[in-house]
Amino acid sequence: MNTLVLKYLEESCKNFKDKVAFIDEDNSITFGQIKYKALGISDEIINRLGYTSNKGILIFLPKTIDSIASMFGIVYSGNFYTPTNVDFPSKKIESILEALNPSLIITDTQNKNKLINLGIGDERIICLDLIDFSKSINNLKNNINNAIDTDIVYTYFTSGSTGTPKGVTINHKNIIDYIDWACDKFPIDETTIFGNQSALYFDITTQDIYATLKKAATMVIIPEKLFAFPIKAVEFIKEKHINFLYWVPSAYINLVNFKSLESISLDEIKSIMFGGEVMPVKHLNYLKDKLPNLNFIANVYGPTEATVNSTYYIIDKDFKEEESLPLGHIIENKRILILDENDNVITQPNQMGEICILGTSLSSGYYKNYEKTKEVFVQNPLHNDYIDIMYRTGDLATYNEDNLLIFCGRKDNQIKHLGYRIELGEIETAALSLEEIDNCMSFYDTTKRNIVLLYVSNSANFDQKKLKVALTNILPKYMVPTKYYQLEELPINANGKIDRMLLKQQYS
Amino acid sequence: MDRIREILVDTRPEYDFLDEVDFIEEGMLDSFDVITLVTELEESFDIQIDGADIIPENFCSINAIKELIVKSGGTI
Repeated sequence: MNTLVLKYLEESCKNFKDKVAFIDEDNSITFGQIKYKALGISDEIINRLGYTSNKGILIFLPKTIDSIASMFGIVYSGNFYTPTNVDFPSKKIESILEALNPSLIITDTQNKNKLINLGIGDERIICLDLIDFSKSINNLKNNINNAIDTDIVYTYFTSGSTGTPKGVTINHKNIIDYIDWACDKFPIDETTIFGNQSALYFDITTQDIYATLKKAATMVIIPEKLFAFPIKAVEFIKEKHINFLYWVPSAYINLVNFKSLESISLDEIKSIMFGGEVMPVKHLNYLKDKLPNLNFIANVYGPTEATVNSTYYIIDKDFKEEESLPLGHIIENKRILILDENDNVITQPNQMGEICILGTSLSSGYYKNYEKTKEVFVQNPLHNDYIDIMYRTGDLATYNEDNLLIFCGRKDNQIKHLGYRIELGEIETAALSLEEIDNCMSFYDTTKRNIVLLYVSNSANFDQKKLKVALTNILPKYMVPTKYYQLEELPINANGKIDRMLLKQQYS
Repeated sequence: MDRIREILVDTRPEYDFLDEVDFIEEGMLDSFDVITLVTELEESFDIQIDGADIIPENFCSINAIKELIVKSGGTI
């Protein structure tokens, strides 16, 4: 029985040892080679920590094959990985370090100093480029034989409304539950070449990576810098013969808006998937028109807490621009309840309620954060007969006449921007941490796809430029507001709170 | 010219965007910035920038951006 994610790698190594598994801008690596490299990393981890289970190890490396080898190495050692971005501002890295308190950090000589400057001691740092990879494979230590399927594989940190990131823990059985289904449902085999766009700390990449292992496919990391000039990304896709894309809608939207498919025909693309935010039909129709051999399109939905995706909709008919794409059907072995404010189950069409998810793919909660965990991972309110945990997503939906789920927005102030899940509260907390800012309110302008910040400052000299620079030092780039308005004061509504509705109307 | 610099500085206030540096080589503009920049230039100069022109060479200096605007039918 396949209970651990690395069994996928072991299996592919039997029949496809010399096939290329992962490709980045400069290098490629076969299934056999990445297993060997991962075991080398596992060996180094065990030399440092001994045989441990479920210890958090941070990956602080650029997005390359080495990061992926590190992920597998960490899992071989019995521990779990948290990837991060070397370009994050130091405040963001500090907050992740604080929440995770990693036992080790895997980095390279080039990025090591950033960690030293944050006060991390040498004893907690492994430099990947200094590991001796010449040992015989039989002498490399691993701890996989002691692993069970409820052990954590990764913890991905998402935005928290008070500025403290929440670490979603995902274990072996969570991933296997999703990947086995996805590889069955979607057209993935050993000829599939995934073009990876998402960050490594984002769970779209979970499908790219583990479907590659399970089906002996190939995953190509498209360098992030190419997305600045989408035509360069298109050229890269063509050059690498990529045939399967699973991206956030924003990335496709940029290809379309920048008319990057006018001059180059991506005739090898057979499948596209999107999820993480709403895909506009207009842009989808353009893609259908420009990709001549496209024969599989799927819209997927799901919070990280329920592992990659929870619903899917295979698009096999034409949609008009004013229509919205359904979230669709529930994925096998998951249960979705749409609950109204009184926790009554909604089954009738066109009644809105919160999407609540049950099943094997549910995370075991937020790392070292029992308070936040118990707020949203709750007992199924329909009974008290036995422990039956349900995750409250905060997403609102209705059923349409065809019994398909339709997304209706959020219960709270969480937004999706460029595919990233962002709590507006985190942006406001960051702005309020500056002594020049007395009050502020942030909202998302969905039409212009801008994060807007309205603020009250106590300093005449604190202009928008200074504010933006200050926020860039605290928040990752995708969270930094793009539009700023300085106000004398923020209006208050009848409940004594900032009148968000009014401000949003005035400044959209 | 000043308007172009202004738009650039609004996008990345931490840089001066001087004449002698190559914005792309120096890594001053990432994927988020180029997207914002294209939208702002299109709005500000009332132009449509062709997809084939969104390449690093056209964004490496104020002069290159100026030529791009002119090529796209705008006036400086």
